[in-house]
Amino acid sequence: MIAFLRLIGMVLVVELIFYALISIYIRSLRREALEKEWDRRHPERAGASPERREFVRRCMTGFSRTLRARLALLVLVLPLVAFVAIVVIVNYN
Amino acid sequence: MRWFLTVLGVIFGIVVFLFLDYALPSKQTVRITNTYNRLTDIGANRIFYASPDTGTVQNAAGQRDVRFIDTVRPNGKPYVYRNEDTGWIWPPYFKYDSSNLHAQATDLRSTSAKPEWVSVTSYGWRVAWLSVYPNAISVKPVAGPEVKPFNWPAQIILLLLGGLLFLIWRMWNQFRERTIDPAVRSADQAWDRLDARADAARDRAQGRMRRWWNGLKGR
Repeated sequence: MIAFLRLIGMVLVVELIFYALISIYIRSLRREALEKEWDRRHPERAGASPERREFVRRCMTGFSRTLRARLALLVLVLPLVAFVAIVVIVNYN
Repeated sequence: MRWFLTVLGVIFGIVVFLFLDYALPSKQTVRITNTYNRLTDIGANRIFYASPDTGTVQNAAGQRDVRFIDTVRPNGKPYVYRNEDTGWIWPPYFKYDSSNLHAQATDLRSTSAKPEWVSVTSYGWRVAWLSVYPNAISVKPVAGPEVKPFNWPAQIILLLLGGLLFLIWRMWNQFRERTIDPAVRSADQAWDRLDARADAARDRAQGRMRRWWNGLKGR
């Protein structure tokens, strides 16, 4: 039982670290896309500027509620599915 | 410096290969000749056996009652598997049906006069002089010694690991492009300003930070 709890604890720690990294990553991708979008819309004001930062900031509000941001939660679910699959394949076949 | 990094990289590659070779499942077509359990000394080779807290009983002298499966390969050479629970720990096979597996293996015993071939899935190595045995995971009857089922589990795990590595590589690239490179650029500019104020040779200082960063990466 202790071993089982230890497994859950260790997997959870790794998953949470990876979840944090993934959410930073998808945020960064979205920001880059928004900056490119601004540059495309305002070719004369392309490049880093306070206006572009403001545009990106406003577009990023509510990002955590989008489907893409929520899909990052799969990091917590998929390993569990894999573990159950391994248990079934190894022990009940 | 360059050769040192190369040697380090080669050693790392070998370690990763050995690790995967040990931990990934492999399949082998064999003929089971005997199944038994034997009081086994677990000493320096302890990392090649199950962890002590997986439900195995170990006496004070460090001996364990371990189940074994004796087999013969199609080329006539012997091969011995152990049959131990891995429990909830490393390697993550979560195997706790070794009694069932032993019953099945015992049922599939055969003699050389009337051979019955099976495909055994296992992980680990057989190292005779260290008394190291691979751990059998499952046993499946096959038609003959030439039948070798494709090792799907290992391929799928390798594919997933490759995908994970690719994702981490992409994440690192994004981090470098969006965080490290701008920081290096602004440090570069700060350095330049400092240099100008000191009225030193400005063009020598251009990109010093960048060169340092590239030198660090060995470019």
